Amino acid sequence: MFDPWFVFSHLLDPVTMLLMALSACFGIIMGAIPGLSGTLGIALLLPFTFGLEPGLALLMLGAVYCGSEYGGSIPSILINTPGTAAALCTTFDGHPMARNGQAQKALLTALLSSVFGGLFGVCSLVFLSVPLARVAMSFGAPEQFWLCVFALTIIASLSSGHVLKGIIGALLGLLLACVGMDPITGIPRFTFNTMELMNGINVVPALIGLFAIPQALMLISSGEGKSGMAPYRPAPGVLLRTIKDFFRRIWVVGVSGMVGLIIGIMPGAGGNIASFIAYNETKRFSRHPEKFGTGVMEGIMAPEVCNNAVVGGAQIPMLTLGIPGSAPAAVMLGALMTHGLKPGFALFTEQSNVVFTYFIGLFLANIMILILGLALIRIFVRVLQVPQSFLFAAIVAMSVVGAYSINNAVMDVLSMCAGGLLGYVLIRFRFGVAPLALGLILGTMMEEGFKLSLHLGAAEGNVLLFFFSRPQSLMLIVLTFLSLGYSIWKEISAARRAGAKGACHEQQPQR
Amino acid sequence: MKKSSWFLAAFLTVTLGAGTAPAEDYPTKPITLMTAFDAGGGSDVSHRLIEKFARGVISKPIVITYRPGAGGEVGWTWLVGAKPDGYTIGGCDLPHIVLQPMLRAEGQPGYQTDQLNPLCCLVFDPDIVMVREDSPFKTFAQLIEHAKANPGTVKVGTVGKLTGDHLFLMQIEKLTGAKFAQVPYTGGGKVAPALLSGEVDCYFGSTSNFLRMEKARGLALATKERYSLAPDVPTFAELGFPLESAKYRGIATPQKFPREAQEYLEAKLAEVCANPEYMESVRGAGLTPFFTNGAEFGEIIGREQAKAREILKSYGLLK
Repeated sequence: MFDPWFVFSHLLDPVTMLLMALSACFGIIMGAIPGLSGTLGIALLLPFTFGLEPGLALLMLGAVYCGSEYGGSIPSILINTPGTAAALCTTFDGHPMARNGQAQKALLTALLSSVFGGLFGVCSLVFLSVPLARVAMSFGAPEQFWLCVFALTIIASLSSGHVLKGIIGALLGLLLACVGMDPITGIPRFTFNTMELMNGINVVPALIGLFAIPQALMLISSGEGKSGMAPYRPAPGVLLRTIKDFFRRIWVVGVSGMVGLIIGIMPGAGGNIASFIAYNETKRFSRHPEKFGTGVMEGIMAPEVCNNAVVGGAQIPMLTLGIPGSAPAAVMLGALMTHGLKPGFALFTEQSNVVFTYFIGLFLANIMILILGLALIRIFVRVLQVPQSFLFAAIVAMSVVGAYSINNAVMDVLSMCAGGLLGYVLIRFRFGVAPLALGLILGTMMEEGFKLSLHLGAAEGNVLLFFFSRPQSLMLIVLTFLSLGYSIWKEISAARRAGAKGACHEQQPQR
Repeated sequence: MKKSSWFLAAFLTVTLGAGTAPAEDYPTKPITLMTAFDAGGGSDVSHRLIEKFARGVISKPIVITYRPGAGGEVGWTWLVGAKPDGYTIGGCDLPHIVLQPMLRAEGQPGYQTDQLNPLCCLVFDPDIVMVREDSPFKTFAQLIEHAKANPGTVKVGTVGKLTGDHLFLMQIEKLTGAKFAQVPYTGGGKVAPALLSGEVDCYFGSTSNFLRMEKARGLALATKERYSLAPDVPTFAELGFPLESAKYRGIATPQKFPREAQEYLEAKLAEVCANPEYMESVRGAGLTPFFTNGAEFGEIIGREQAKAREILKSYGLLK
């Protein structure tokens, strides 16, 4: 039975607190190093928890998970390289803010957003686990496909003005995602009879290459003096101002938190896709969408709130149904079973002490991340004081090490390098790397959803009807069309306004 | 200066000592256990339990490394190419390791089944036919009857195509004469929600996945006698079909593995697997502890290989 005294006396034990703080710190570092991720962090820490009791063990792993989702934002902001795939969208506005000399504010925004997102997710996990577990099951294969199609409409807003180039980039990404074994039949494609390509192009090293290498190349090509990077100066009172600005935009927490929660619950989607959608939705609801991408706070808040809300969301079906909602949640599920706990609704009643220790502990973990983050940001911003020539070398070295350390595979280093070259070319010709990254991330999931739906539809007798008749699918299709229509309408009205202005300017001299 | 030279001298003496120490008995360093699947899967859990309970039994720690990808193929190809120095072993699953080399596309490189030297078998996981709790099919006979009346419309979720689950499906089709529509998902974590939400009508898969799921019902289990972890589910034999089908999970090594290491690990892993606490944890994860030595595991591999070949031939998938 649930015994509050037991739970709290356990949690407030100094050793527990210390272990949690260390785990959270470990998670932040794992997240902050491009290539290393929360998934790996949890897997690495697991053997050290064997001797502990299950509640505390889970808590340590949970703290790593929370910490890593925050940590990913740090390199996104400072060196324009996502620490984890889920922090990719944080680069869009985080890095411009740092370049404008607001690095500290950007990092603080990411920290506050992560903590609020995390708390949002944990609250939902605690209070809504049982009703929301059903959501995990209402999304089937066709919805998986339509969700990816919906996510692709984000290209329009990622590449405003260059929509065609954005589409080309995304298609290239989808094509690259086809390399490797067919997810359903296992037939190798584009592998040139090599073992290395059997598993496809590993997304994480490719992302590191796409973002980090062009960044490094631009650092050297920009030369001395006109690096475009504002020097970092410690600004007094920035914390208070950031908090004030943060609460003025608190609605972002609601929007992005909901997106993160729902997509987190869906099996197999995870923070990578969720943060893209959250970024796009926040931009749509914003009063000044045109400023996104130039360094606005909302642009950091959306992905960071979202990928931390995923932490709670992904664990809802993991704990209640034994179905993990994300890759780190899958490792957590393994940890749960190694510790002799069986997931399921019964877990909440039979092991309520363990479960509540875990839940309340996750709250504390998020608070600890806040404190740790405030202390660590002072150290992290010093990255910007490193001379550019050293920073360039460090980024390249870190990219190689990060790519290699994922699977200790040379192939990953090669795909990182190839991604880097490709990214540089894309940026030079104004394609941008974000659409390609989106295509690469969505590819496998989209293909899987599509092919499974074909199988299911064939058994039902009518494939087309199957794709278009399910209510959840219809909802996503409508959303897709609305999103497309909205983007087109905005482009047209923007063009018309520009045209009208242009016409005025032309007429004036004649008068 | 003098002080530091003393330290240096002492340090060098110690390192010298370490360097010239007599060749210790195996093992002298941690043993790497390769997992060919992602962290968090069924293989990972069984390996983590070995890692956990080997402490104190095997004098050096076991370290898990992941080589996931292509349904295990990446990891096993890596394993057969690893240095046979006695410190690299890897988990391997049946029937995966017999099916993949058999069905591999021409020209595609990869390991061969006989390149894996069996070290021991760890767990046993029989196959089961499951439906969701409120499914109209109350018995296996009802399911078969319906499938026969409506061929190709009953949707069956499996993990992958040409995998253990698929072989199980093929055997059921052959024995009963029914025809199903296979929907191959990419993992057990994907079939489970599909079954529970009604996207597929049934799931032909591993009992460990069944035991992990809430609100699912077993219709028939492919063991000789009632399975202790799911005693309420009738066996195929009881229902009149001579069908036994299961997955085995064991450990293999590269070829030319040192004999001393093989003997040491066989003996020690036998000890680990006899620990009642270990056995309880394995059962908790939905698996049955099933330790055999390397030779016996080799026999199981041979038996499964012959069986798989026969089934695939009868479907014309293999010459």
